[in-house]
Amino acid sequence: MKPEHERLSQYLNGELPREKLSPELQAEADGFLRPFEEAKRERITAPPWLGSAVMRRVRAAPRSRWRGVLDWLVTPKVVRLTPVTAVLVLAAGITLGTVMWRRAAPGPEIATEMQDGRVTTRFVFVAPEASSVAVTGDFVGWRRDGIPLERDPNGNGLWVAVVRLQPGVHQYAFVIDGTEWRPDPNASQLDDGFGQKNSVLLVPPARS
Amino acid sequence: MPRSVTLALTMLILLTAGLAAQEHPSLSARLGRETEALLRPVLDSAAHDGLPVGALESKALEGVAKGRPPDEIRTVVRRLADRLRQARAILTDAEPDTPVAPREIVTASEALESGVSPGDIARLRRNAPAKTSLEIPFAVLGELVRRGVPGSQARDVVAGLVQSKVPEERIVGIPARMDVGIRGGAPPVQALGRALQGMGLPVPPSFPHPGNPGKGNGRGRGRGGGGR
Repeated sequence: MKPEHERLSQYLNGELPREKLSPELQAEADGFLRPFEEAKRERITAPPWLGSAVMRRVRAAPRSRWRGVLDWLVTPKVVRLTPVTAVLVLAAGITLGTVMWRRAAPGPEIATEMQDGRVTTRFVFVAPEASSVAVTGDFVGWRRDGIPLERDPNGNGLWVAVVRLQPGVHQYAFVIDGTEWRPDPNASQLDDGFGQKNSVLLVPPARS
Repeated sequence: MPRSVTLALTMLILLTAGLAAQEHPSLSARLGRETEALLRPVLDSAAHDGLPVGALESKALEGVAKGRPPDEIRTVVRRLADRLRQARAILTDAEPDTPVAPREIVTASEALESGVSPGDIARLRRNAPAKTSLEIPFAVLGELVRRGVPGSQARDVVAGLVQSKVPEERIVGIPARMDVGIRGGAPPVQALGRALQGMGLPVPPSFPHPGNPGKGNGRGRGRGGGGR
């Protein structure tokens, strides 16, 4: 690069003041800068057809259905509700949640398989504070220690035991910490004659 | 055989028997001397009358496990024996020529306790096909009445299912299915109708249509309801 071109380049880069240039180089530099000065003065606007043409092309671009659903889901929307409607929606949600929760409430679960004439039955009891839970009933001669339930390792307070029972009608109860007798809250209950309640379990003869 | 070997074998047999006794203690050992003495006349009388003594022994063991005093256990066991005696009489009178299974007597007595009338129990027994076990049907009948279905309607449903030879494993699921409707706010009869319909089981013609809550009262308590 020639020395005069190097000085011109330094000026254009802002590294050299204009006074350091010769009058010829100043004229040449003005020639370079003139189009930029003119562009600054003029207001350049896009033609009116350009926006709609670009959007047409964008919309026409192929897009997957899931992408569309995702876009719809993550795009903020304004939902306008009257207070009455909002209260009704909230009440419906609470009611639905309550019904679903009740439907999902665990009770004795009877499997359909049978071995040696006995039917596999799963007992579940919720006792987060208990240190031991056992199920006892006529099927173990009402032994107080009964059949111990195992604590669910997920820490949800559930205790579970799988027992193989003879088909028929059984009465049972849970013994908490070896002392407290409680019926199954999710099974049918019957007076035990001693002022407490027993739970009733109907075990059908499963098809082997 | 040398005397020492005989002695060793005898000791072994006694030890094994002792361990077995510890593992499965006898009824007397579990009841205790006092309770057994109080109960013995009740149990002997029940055995003499052909009642299921096992159910009485189980109730006595339950009382012991729950720490109840011997007098109270005797009272409860005697009351249960009376109920079993009544159930046996109802079943025998209804079908004198058909033997009654012990478990049928037990569940019939529990149905009586739940509020099912003697007439409904007798009619179910009379209308059942020959050689059909009614242990589960009696239990389900009691469950329905306990949930508020009037006795006569509960009996019609169960009798219909038994006559149609619907398998027990399907009949047994009705009370739990009915509970779903009750928890949803349906009256007992309507909940029962919905349960039957949902399970694809026959709904008696006299029954209110599940889709029409206006028919039938649906809220009867059922105690003592129905009859011959």
